[in-house]
Amino acid sequence: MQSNTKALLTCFLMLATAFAGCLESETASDDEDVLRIISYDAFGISDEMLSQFTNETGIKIELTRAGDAGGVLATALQTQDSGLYDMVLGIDNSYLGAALSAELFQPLDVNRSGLSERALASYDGDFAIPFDVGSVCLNYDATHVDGENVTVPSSLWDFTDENWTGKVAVQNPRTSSPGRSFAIAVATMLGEEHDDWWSAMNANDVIVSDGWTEAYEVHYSAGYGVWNDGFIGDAKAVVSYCHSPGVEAYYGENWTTSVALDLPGASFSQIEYAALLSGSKQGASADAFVEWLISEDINSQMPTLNFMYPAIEGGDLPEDAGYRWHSVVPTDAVVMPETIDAKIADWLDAWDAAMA
Amino acid sequence: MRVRAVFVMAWTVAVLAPLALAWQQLDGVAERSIFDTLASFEDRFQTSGALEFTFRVAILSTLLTLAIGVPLAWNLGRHRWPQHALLRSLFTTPFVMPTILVAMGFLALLDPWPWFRQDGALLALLLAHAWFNLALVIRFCEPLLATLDPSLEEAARLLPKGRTRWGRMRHLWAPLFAPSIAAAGAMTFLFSFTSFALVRWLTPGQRNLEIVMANQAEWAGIAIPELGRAPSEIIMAAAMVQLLTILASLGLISWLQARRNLMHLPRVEDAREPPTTVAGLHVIVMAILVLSPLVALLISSFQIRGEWDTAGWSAAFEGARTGIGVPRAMWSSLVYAGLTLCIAVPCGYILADVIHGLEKDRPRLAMAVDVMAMLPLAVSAVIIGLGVLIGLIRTEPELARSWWIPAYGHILLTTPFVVRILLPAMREIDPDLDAAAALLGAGPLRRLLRVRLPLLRGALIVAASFVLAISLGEFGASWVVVKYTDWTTLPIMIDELLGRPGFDPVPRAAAHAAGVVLLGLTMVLFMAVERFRPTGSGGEF
Repeated sequence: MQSNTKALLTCFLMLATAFAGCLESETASDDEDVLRIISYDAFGISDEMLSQFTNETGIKIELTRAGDAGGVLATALQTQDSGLYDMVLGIDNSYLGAALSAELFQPLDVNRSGLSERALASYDGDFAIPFDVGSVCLNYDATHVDGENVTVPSSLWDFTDENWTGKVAVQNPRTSSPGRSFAIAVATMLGEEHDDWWSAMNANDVIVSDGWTEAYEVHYSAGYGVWNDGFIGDAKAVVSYCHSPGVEAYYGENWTTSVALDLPGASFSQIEYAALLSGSKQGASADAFVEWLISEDINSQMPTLNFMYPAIEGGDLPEDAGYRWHSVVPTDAVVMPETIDAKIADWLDAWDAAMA
Repeated sequence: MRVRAVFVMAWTVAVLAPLALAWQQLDGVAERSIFDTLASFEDRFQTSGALEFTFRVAILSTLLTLAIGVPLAWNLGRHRWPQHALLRSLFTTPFVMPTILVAMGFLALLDPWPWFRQDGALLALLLAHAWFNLALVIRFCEPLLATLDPSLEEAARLLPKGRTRWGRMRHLWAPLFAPSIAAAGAMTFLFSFTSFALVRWLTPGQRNLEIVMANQAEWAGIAIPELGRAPSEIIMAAAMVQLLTILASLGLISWLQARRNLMHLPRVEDAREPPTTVAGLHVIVMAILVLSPLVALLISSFQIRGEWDTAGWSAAFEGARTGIGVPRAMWSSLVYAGLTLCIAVPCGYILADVIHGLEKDRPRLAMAVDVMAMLPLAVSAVIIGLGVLIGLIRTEPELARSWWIPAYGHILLTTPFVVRILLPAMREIDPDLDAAAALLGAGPLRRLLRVRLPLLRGALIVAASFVLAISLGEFGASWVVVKYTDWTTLPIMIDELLGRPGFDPVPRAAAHAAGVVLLGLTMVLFMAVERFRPTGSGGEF
């Protein structure tokens, strides 16, 4: 049987090589100028635009999608110093402190003068360049808040009363970056009381999902999920972005019943960064790519491409179909990356215990 | 013999190396012992309720699958149906369907009944598991039912305990089929225990161990203070529970099947009878039920915000949202499937051959090799993905970029199926044939090509169709260390489309459209080969 087995193996290995040939012809050769970027799944810059960039500059972009903002950081940490990737796109200010203290980045040489104050609020330096911003806050269904029995909440504690029992959906902050941003805002706003609030929310049957998608499209009654299979609609409030109602209106012919809750301090300004990984030799190409990303032409399209505000000075949401009208720019919780870095482990542990 | 010993060792290394690497990395980060972590499972949101939910779902799914599957296998196996091969393959295709599409299909199907999304969510999940695992019951039981010598039943009629139908059920059929049913049940338990996409989509807010691990996976093995050590600890504890449970059920399956082989039942070519009306109705209703989630998915791919629209289909084919369209993604999928086929089938053949060769003289060792061959099904993709990543980064980071890394995952995952399909077929070959051919002067290659392979033809074709179908639908993105658009397969394309926020309704419809193409492709490939399978062959898958 021995040579029998050998013959069989040989035949199939030859076949396998033939198939492999089909794949190998597609790989990029090493001399090309390639930027290997880790980004999150929902990153919305289309491949068409990326190939436009390639045509203009000769720099090829290879995107690897790695879950959400946390996944981007995790992948960067796991492959640190391996030279596998050159850049990260989408690490936000809630993760920036951890990334900086892990010495994950090397400086970029990019002119930041065109960026807005809001974009540079958390961090203004060479290691991470903001390319879009957006605030995370609660959205509510205006048809539930009738003004008589249920009024617009004026405090987070309002959500712990019976009008909101089983009607608020949040995300697990260990698995979702909007969930994490919101948990940071709550911890900053309520201080020592934040775990009491979460315990009270837990007692009030708050709905917790692992990702934004499930919370928003399965549970939220005033979102686009109403059109989807499997829609439940039990939540009358959900953690999302303060401009999500604007996006709803933009795709819903200027109609939505979703409203962003403008509650000072109960929102977190999420700023997303592009950064160059230490160990990469593609510094010059990365500079060119970031310059392109924060150029007026590209960056002003963030609201429709990536559903976020532009990071450039004077950048705003388009006025088409109620996008800007339905969006809110709230007074965000003031918290710096260093504070998050120092406290996040405790906050998350407290959250886990309060919600168990 | 030496080549095969080396091969078994190489396989063992290929399976265990990622496991060991992942374990070492997790162990380096974790501070608490597995038992401490398990003891505090209920005190943390991330893990509370997961153990109980996992076991409850797996046990209930197994019971429901058997309750639905055994009568169907009976009616299918005992009667001669028009288009029997087609019918049989129809009932087995669900098993090779990508679960995320099954979940989409079930959501579309159950949409008119909101009850299934809240109070009835668990029932929806159990039904989906039954739908998915129906194939196991049919494959394990039907061949024997179709070929068992009818004189057995006639003899039983004459005996006191076999006079009534119920008596024959209890004293003849039940003992005969208990091992097959138990093996199918153990397999169903295994797949329901490790179910991921169906649980995630059909029971919102509930976590089984697989989801718990996937949730913590991204931070596993990273030791930075901001994250705490909990993710690595949770994964180790959950993986340990999962591994022990699954090894136990794999051992049970291997033992049951060896036992079943000892029964030496009298078989005939074809023992099927003409169908009755009741049986006909039953089979027709079941066929409609099996097709319904797929039809529901097809319908929803043509709908955008409640209106009929083909925008999803055109977006999917043009690749407007993903950079590459369905045709290109389909080509990549087929290339990977072909590559997997070329390696997984010979791997499975050799492993099955080794197990078969050892069975007579060293049954314990045979069982050990058998369990090793099945292990990739048992270990969570999270762990193996992590191990592959760590292994590559430590040794040769450039390798992580190579095209064959995804294929490696596909091969590990499909080879166990080849073993399960080929092994019973090998047991049925008369060993004297090979010896006689050798005596007549046939060389080893000639014996392989002219004697063994033709005798195994049916089983090899079935194995090939399984490999192709599973490889085509492999969503295990965690296998893929580095994803490049050049090699975007259909499942990855669908995954990307579903990853976008759905404010813009087109990507979701495009995902459904690409899903329908994937399901169609899988079904055609799978059903096309089914007719090569003689009645009564197989018996495991």
